[in-house]
Amino acid sequence: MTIRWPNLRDLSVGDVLVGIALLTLIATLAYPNLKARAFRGLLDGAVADVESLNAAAIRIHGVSGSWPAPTVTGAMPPEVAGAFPGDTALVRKGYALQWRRWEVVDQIVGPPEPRGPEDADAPPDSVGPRLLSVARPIGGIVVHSGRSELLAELLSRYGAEVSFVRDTMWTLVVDLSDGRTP
Amino acid sequence: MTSAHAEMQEARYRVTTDAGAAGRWKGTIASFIFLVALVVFIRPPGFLVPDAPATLTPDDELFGVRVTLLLQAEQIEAYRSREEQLPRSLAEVDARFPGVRFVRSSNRLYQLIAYTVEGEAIVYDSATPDPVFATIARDWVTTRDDF
Repeated sequence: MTIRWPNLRDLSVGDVLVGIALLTLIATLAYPNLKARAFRGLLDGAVADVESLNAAAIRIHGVSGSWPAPTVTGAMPPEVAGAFPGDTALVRKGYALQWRRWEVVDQIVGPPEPRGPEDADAPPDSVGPRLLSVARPIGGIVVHSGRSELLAELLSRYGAEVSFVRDTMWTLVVDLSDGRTP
Repeated sequence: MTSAHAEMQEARYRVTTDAGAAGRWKGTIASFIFLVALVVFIRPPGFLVPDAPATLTPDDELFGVRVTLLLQAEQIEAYRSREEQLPRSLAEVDARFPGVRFVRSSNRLYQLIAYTVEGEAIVYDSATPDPVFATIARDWVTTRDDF
C-alpha cells in the first residue's frame, strides 16, 4: 500500500486553514512542556556551574589555604579557570556567576591572662574563658539573574541555611570551617 | 445541443455548490480549532502543565535581607578586630552589600538598615542585635554559645 500525498495545487483555502489551525493547536499543546523543559535546562546549567565553581574553590582552598580572589559579576577567577574549559567568562544566557569573599568573626578561647607575682597565692578567678575575636575568610558564589523563579529554585535546592536571595541575586555561602560545608 | 449545454451548466453549478459547502465547513472547523488552541494557550488544562517552578515568598525575601545585614555586620566586625575601631563609612570595608545603609552612632556602636521589597525597614543594631541574627549566624560563625 502506498500513501499518496495530495498535490499542493489541489488544496483549497479551507484545507490550508485547517492545516494551519491543527499546527497551531499542536504547538499550543506542546508549549507548556517545552517552556518547562527550557527552564529545567537553565536550572541544571546553573547548578552545574555552581557545583563546578564550588568544587574548584574548595580544591584551591585545600591546596593554598586561601579562597580565590573576589571578582566582578561574570568574571572568571583565574584560579578556577581550569574548571571551566573553553570559557573565558561566567556569563550564561539567563544568568551570570560571581565569586565573592567575605570575612566572619569567630570568638575563640584565648590563652589565660598572665598572672602577676602578686596574684600567685590568690585563687584563680571564676570568670569565664578569655575570648578573642578572630576574622576568618569565607567564600561566596553569587548567581545574578532577573528570573526570580531560577533564584527560588536554587534557594529551594540548596536550602536556606547556606544560601539566600536578595534582589536579583542568589548567594551560596562557602565555608569549610568545623565541617560547615555547603 | 441546447440540452447538452444545459446539462453542462447544471454540472458546473452543482460542483460549485459542493465546493462552496465544503469550503464553508473547513472554515468552520479551522475556526473551531483556532478557538480551542486559544483557550488552551490562555488556560492550559492541568495535565498539560508540568509542576510550576518555585517562587520566592515574602519570608525568603525577609531572610535574604537579614542575612545580608548579618554578613555586612561581620565585615564591619572583621574591620574592627583588625583596626580596633569602627569604620567611618562602608567604603572602608572590603566587602559591601548593595542596599545596606550604615549609621555609626558612637565610637563603638552602629546600625545597619536595609529594606524589604514591601518597604519594611530591617535594622541590625550592634548594641542589641535581634536574636534572629544569632540564629542565622549559628551556621557560620563560632560564638560564645558554641563552647
